[in-house]
Amino acid sequence: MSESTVIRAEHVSFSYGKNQIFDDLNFEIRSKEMVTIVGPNGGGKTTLLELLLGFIEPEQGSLTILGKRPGDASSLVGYVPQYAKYDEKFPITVLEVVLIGRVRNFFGFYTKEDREKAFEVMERVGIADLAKRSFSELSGGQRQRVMIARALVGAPQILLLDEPTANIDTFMSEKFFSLIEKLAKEKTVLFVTHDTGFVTNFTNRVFCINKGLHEHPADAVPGSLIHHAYGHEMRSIRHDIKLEQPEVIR
Amino acid sequence: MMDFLAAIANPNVPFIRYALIAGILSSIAFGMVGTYVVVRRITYIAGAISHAALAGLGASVYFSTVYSITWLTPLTGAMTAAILSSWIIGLVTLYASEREDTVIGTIWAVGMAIGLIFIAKTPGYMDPMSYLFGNILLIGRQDLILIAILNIIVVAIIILFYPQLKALSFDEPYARTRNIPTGFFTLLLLTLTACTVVLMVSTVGIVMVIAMLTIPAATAGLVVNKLSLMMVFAGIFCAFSNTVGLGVSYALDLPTGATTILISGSMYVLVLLWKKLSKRG
Repeated sequence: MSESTVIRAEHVSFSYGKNQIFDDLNFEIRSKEMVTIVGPNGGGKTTLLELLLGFIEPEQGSLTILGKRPGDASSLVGYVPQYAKYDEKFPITVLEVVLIGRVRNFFGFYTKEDREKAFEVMERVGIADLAKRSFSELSGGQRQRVMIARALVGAPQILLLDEPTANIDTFMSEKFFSLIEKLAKEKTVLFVTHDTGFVTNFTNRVFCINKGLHEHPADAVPGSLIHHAYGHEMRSIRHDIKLEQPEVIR
Repeated sequence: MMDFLAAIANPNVPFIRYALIAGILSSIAFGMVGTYVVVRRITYIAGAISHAALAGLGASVYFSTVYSITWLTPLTGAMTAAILSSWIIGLVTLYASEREDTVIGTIWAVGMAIGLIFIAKTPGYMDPMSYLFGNILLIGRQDLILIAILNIIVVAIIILFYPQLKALSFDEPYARTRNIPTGFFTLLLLTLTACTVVLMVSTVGIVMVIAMLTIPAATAGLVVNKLSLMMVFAGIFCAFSNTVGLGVSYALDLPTGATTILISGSMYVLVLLWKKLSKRG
């Protein structure tokens, strides 16, 4: 393992009953790398996410985050889940949501330092003025920033984002990309998405996952690879050029 | 109204005073636990726990009568059954592959069936209606002590684990990533729910206790945007409903439990209407 490797999967196998999700999965993700994980629903993206978060363990092989089992490396990973999963009516303020990123696992209340860190990170992602606002009143883009602040407040080395562009409009999406671009300079960033249009020009590598993993540099993801990963025709919208018509990959 | 105040002060009718104290005391726990029941959307589970309490209640009435076990009060039996059923539901929810709603429904109905059979076989006349729909005459001094102790335990635990329970309720998968033992806290919350429903069984009964757990908290959720404030307001709304319900039922000679629920339900509708109208305005 090279010194800069932060995530390493070696011969990882996992199945749900008779449904084999991964068989001999191998990859390495290096420090401050930005990796986009794409693939169709049911292809194994969520399983990989659950493996990385330590919710499930590989049946065979090993998966390590900075040499630790994912379950023991929770403080190293900042997780940004899909915001659409939240209860719209939950009575909670933005500051309270961000503070959850520093919650003690069993006993203990939030300290003054926790609050200072929360305000620091909210300032950084541009939501400090929303601290006392109710989370349910925010727009999709604002909520996504709150989730990123919550993930960052624990000072993780890896940022793991699940479907980050879902429910964000194009304008907010651009602001969101620029925030992630800044964060990617100091942290390892992993995106999990079913949206191939998310493969932007600042992603280092793309993992196409469909019951296996095809790794590719992000500068030129060929149609053949996406077709192979998804198993059918896909529409691809590239962020670095403007096309009259969406390109149809065959 | 004056009659009601006079009845509270009258040393010869302690049951009114006991009912008032029980209602106000249990409102604190009801406000706190009810808030979690509402935000975690586990009303159906809380309903099953409260109905299953009848099994323990009926069993305690039967065994204390047949075998003269004096320490076995109906509230002790109800609490034991409620806690056991909460653990079964919790463990099934967390670890089993059975359909959760099927298990909840089964515990709900089987618990009631066991309770009714025990009550039917208890020698002498035993009216299940008092337990199903509440009867303030059932509240004794010993019950007040039990309610006070349970109340202190429930409130202390909720305060002690407030950040963890809030994190769990808002976003369970994320709480797991922070190494919070979500299974333990889920079971703890269900156990607290079981203890809390028993607090008000005598006043509003097993069938309607779920309403007092959810309606005041839901009403509070309409007016505040913080979980802690929701608990405070839910407690206030619950205490108000209990007190006014007791007073109105005394004045108009109506069943206390039903009157209390109607007061609570009316408050919810009024606050909802006020909120809708103030948004339009």
